[in-house]
Amino acid sequence: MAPRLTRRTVLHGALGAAGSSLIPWHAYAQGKRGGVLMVAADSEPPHWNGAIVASNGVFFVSSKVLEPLADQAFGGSGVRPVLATAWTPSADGRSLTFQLRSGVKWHDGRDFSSADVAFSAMEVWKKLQNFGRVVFKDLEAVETPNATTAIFRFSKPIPSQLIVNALPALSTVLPKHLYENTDIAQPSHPANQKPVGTGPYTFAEQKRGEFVRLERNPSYWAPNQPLVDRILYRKMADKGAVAAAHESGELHLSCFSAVSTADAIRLGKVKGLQVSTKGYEGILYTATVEINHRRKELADVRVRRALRHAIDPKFLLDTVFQGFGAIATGPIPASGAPFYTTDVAQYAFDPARAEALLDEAGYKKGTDGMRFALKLLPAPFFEQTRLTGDYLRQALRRIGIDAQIEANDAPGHIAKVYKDHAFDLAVAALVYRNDPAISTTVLYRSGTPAGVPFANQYGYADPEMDKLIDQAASEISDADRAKLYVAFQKKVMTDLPILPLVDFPFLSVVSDKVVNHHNNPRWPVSSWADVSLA
Amino acid sequence: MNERGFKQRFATNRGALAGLAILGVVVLAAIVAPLLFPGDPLDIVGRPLTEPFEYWRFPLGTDRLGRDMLAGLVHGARASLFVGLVAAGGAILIGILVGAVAGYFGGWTDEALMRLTETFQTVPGFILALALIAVMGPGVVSVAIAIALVSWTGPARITRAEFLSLKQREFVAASRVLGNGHGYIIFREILPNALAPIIVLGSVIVAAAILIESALSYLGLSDPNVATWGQMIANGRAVFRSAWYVSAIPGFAILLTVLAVSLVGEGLTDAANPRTGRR
Repeated sequence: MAPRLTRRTVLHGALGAAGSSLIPWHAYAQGKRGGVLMVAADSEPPHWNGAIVASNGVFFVSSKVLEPLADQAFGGSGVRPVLATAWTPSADGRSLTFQLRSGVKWHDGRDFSSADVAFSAMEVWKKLQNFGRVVFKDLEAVETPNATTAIFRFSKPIPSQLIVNALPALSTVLPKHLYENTDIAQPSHPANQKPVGTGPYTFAEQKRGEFVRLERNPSYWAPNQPLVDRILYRKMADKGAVAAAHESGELHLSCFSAVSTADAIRLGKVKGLQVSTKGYEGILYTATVEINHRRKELADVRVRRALRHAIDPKFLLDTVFQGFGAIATGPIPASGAPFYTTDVAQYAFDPARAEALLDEAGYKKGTDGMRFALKLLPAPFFEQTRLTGDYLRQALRRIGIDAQIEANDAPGHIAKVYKDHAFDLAVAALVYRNDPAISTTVLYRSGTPAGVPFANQYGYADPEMDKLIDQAASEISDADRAKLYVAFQKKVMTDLPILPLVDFPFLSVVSDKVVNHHNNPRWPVSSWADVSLA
Repeated sequence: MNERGFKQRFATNRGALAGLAILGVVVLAAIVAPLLFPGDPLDIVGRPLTEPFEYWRFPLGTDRLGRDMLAGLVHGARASLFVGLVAAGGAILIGILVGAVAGYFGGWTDEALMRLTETFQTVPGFILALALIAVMGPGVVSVAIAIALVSWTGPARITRAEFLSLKQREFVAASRVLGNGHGYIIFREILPNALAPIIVLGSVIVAAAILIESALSYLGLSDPNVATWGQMIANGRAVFRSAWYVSAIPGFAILLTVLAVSLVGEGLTDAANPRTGRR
């Protein structure tokens, strides 16, 4: 994955794998107690309620305080129990019974119970949450026969696999006693500003623009956890400042590529520091070219295939992503087992073929060597998408498409692409969240109202595709579901409504002093209960 | 003013001559850019991040995507000079109009125009330019317009001062007696006599405009489809610790160009006012 870090990454991976298979989980908890974990802060969202907004920026802090029913894990079923200890679907796919952990207390001393889960599911996930509104839309009721059982009842059969895959990001449980009969979605809600949860750390203090401080929860439900006394998220001026703080030893950890890729490679060689792309498998991004099918040229599949033939993902991977990532074969990344397939149409880098396809589609070169002009909007959120835009412009000019880059700020970009559709091509980094029905099919299903970001705002509508997506959404057999998603991937790569190019993880820089890090597929947004400082 | 003396004084100023020489090279580079590097300077032509002099094909190396630094530098000179000259030209034009009208007519016209000028002067120029570009949309032309709109106050005040003193002179009174209109007196009689200090100020504005343009394109507010020095610096920022030359080379180009323009400007000042010379 990372040529310049191969030895270290492989070693790290090998040790991690050996650790997870040979040493029982509680052995991890024997790390040293105490110390302050210094972390570079990520974004500063308006509130920390991860149950309303399933976003990595919120989770980076809130996942230490508020816990989900289950989280992702390497190996096994891929899911690890947290507040739920077991779950059993009914045969008809219309209910799912959760056994909840007993003896769990909220940070304010109240007992955690099934009533909190029922409240969170019905009032928060289903009604308010960005992803939950889709995944839990058919959730009718949550029954609570006793304090440690919650039975989810659906109005129609729902794949239990989808619900379980959704648990890590979508099932953050809120305390009913603090939210009932209040305006839950109000950012200034006291519990949204200073969350009260069941997690290994309590939310102690935030100074906007400076830091967030979390303290060890002494009555956490897992024995001997957490290990560090305090987590301090420090706001840093820019990527250069984060790199310098790593070198001076002021920081233990930075995540989500808080340093530039070039700096990360340099820091990876510094003694006492290491770079990890492990721990991002569950929150992988795909650099994607979004296409506006309202342009008559782009509505022609031959033109879209020509675009794909004109692009060399290998070059992008080596330069823009500096080797961190993998060439995307389709809409689901390779880590997306059991749905992932390579049995799809492949498009080699072949500008001559691209030109032939454009000629065939009737777009001949004009006297200036250009066939037609396109407006190209690279997403301004990431260095990678901006550079991919620079590359794309040159790659398309080579085949006679005059791509003109238009730069916008973040709100401007979202409005132009996802609301006003004032673009021809855009470059996006789209996240894959553990199940195609959560994050991916929305990019291909028609009928999304204008204004919903990171969804099909492309004017692409194909009845066959819609049927496939709807069928998979209500298929309760895991095996048949996987088959439908294989068909979905084939259809995507044949039609090419949008072009997935490179699957890429973010980078973490971490000090050798930190023990037990990057040991699950969405580590930066997991609870860190087992982390300690050597 | 003695034309010959002016030229002589300029020609004996070594700094000014050096500035003129550097500026000549930059202008030449801008003119012959399409001949030296035909095609798009943003084209990906080689391996990314080759160092200067590593390959003779790319004497200044390549950037993160494998674009030729020298081609970018030479083409970037066009954007910098274009913005510098157009912005300074625009600023001087607006400044002369406002200053001449204010100085010539006086009274409430003067009051109103000078309060307007002060309003512009009290807002930090760079911030105002950012706001203007946010409204007009990023691009080379909008950058030039924005810079012109934030730098016309200097020429306006100087023009007004010159007009205030010149309009008392006999030749103005004579022209008025001859029945010439206000327009004729302003542009044919007074302005030619007021022009020298304004032109000197113009060179300062050109230098400032090149700097502001670089800063704006560094922030990504210039046209991303045109090679500019500021953009090249911004592109190199992420690799600064491992490939410093990607940022340093265009940075050095900006330094040299601004220095050259300033030296020429100083030479013009000294030559125009021999008695205020510092030697």
